[in-house]
Amino acid sequence: MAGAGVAGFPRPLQVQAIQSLAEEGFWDALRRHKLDVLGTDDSPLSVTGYYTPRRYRSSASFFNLRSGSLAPPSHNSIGDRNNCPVAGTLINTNNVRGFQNLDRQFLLKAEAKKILHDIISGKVEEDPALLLRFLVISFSDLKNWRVYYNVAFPSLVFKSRMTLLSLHRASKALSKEEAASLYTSLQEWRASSETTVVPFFLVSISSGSSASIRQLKDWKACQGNCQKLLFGFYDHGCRSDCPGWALRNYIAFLSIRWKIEKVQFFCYREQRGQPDLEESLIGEASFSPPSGWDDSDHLPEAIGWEGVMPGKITKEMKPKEINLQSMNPASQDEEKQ
Amino acid sequence: MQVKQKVYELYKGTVERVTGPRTVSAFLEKGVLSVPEFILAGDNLVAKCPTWSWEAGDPSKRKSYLPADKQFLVTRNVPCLRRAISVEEEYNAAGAEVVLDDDEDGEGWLATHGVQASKTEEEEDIPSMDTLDIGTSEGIKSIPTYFSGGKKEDEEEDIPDMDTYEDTGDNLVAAEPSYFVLAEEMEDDNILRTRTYDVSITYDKYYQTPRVWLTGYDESRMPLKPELVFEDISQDHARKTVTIEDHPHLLAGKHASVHPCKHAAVMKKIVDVLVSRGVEPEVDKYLFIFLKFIASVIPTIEYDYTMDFDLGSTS
Repeated sequence: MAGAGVAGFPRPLQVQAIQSLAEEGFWDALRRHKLDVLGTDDSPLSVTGYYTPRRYRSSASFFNLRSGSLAPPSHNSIGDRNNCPVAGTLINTNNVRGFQNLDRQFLLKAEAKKILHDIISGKVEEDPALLLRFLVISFSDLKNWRVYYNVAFPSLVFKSRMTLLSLHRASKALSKEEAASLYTSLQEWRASSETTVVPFFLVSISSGSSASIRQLKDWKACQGNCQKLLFGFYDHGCRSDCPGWALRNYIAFLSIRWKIEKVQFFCYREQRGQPDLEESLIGEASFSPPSGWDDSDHLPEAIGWEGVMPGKITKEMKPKEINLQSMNPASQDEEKQ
Repeated sequence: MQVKQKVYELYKGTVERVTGPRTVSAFLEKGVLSVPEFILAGDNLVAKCPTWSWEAGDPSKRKSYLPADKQFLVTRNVPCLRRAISVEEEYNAAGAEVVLDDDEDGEGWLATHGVQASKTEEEEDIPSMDTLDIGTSEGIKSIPTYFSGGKKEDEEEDIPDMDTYEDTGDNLVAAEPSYFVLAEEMEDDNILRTRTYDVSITYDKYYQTPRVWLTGYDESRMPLKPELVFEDISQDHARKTVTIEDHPHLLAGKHASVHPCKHAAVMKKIVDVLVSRGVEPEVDKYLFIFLKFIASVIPTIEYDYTMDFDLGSTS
């Protein structure tokens, strides 16, 4: 049994890491952009990634980078339910040495700082996807049609523990009536083009078992007039014994911005595009407030380089390598002969 | 072969340019779709199976007879838990008792619960790359190496050697305070590492049918070489009706495609069977029927085409 191997409650909150999936189209677009526009300019670019809740029971969903990703979210991305646009930063270096010399930990912290800033300023309430900000570093070896890269999903690190007090399947944690009402509300939320790309939300359940979903910015209005308040988010993960990666920055937001110390959260997952309350999770976590984060000079601790397990000595952060040879007109000519 | 294919594509492209798109329905008579019917059926697919979306594709490849924001349909990151070829082997070995569709009992291969129970099954279902043999040694390479299996060996020398890539570790978190470890990601040994596919449906104006495209990703989320995609295609179709081509709406990459030359005939047959049973299928259901038929070509890619929804506990 999953969960059986893990200690009971309370236990330290652990989350399932998220994986990136970059299409060849993204790197090909970068290759062309570098040739046609950038030249040797290696200043950071604003890019867009795509996030979704888990869609199939058999696997977690991925964070996607596609050919349209090479522009900031507002300009290129019409979100749909399978593609919540997320803002990110791409640093493409001009040579291998430059790539190797990037200060990865500093860059990660700098991105985490942006997240912290958006939390403190209240920007996250208007655009919750900012909590999912990501970072890509790359070296595109144009001559050899190869790209080397790493992706990070910066996550703020609390000095104090995040403690998981309980975790259950949503179908078990809710009454039948509550579950049915929540299911309908979730379908509506996901069907509306306005809300379907909003990956963080509030679920309020009245004493009459009726569930409604609200935007984060309606939090003040939600308080007091509901029986149960759950902090919901699109969970990319597929494990029954822990929530997905996004919960960490969500908790950071709840703690720093709203000074909450204990929450009930709702990990929203889908099965073939429909709410899956059997595998969505409802849990409770507590955390003591971080200190010193309001200081504008504070550079927060962060984790999140893909493939790097925090707490282990990580010398082997190898870059991923992608071969774009199939896009080389020369190699296509050769094939023809 | 390549030249023949190019010439053919050129011919097809010319015919497509000079002939207007079909506007009169011939769904029941010929199994084909007009452009408005394709849009209609696509809208219905997106509405009923929300893992599918319309997409615009690359602007330079836009087809004027389709709406700019509805150039083709796509469903991404679809899991493919095992190779089609292994399913066929199991099928033969088990004397036709293998259930292709795991939907009824999705728990069987789910590692998130019942890890112990599913472990052995999992190992059978997903053969290691080493043991898999489809008779073409070229197609099978171990995962870490197939990217470097390029055609031109001499070019390898020019590539800066990233294998000797050194990270001093100074950049990364080296000494962890004890509180830190507790918030780390889970060890994800229990999670099934599967291939995934992006499945897209384009409108083929020449054949007046939808056409299916596959873009594969391996267990580490890196693009799958088209040759390896053949392992996920029913061996009756691999290298016969499935070819590797450029995508009509995307600039990058080579994609596997089920060739549409027989689609209309097959659809016509299915329609005839339905009609003989007294069910006259509506044209907006075209893609559901079509995808059901495509599932016989790619039996292990679990894309969604069903109209019966699993509502889970709330049903």
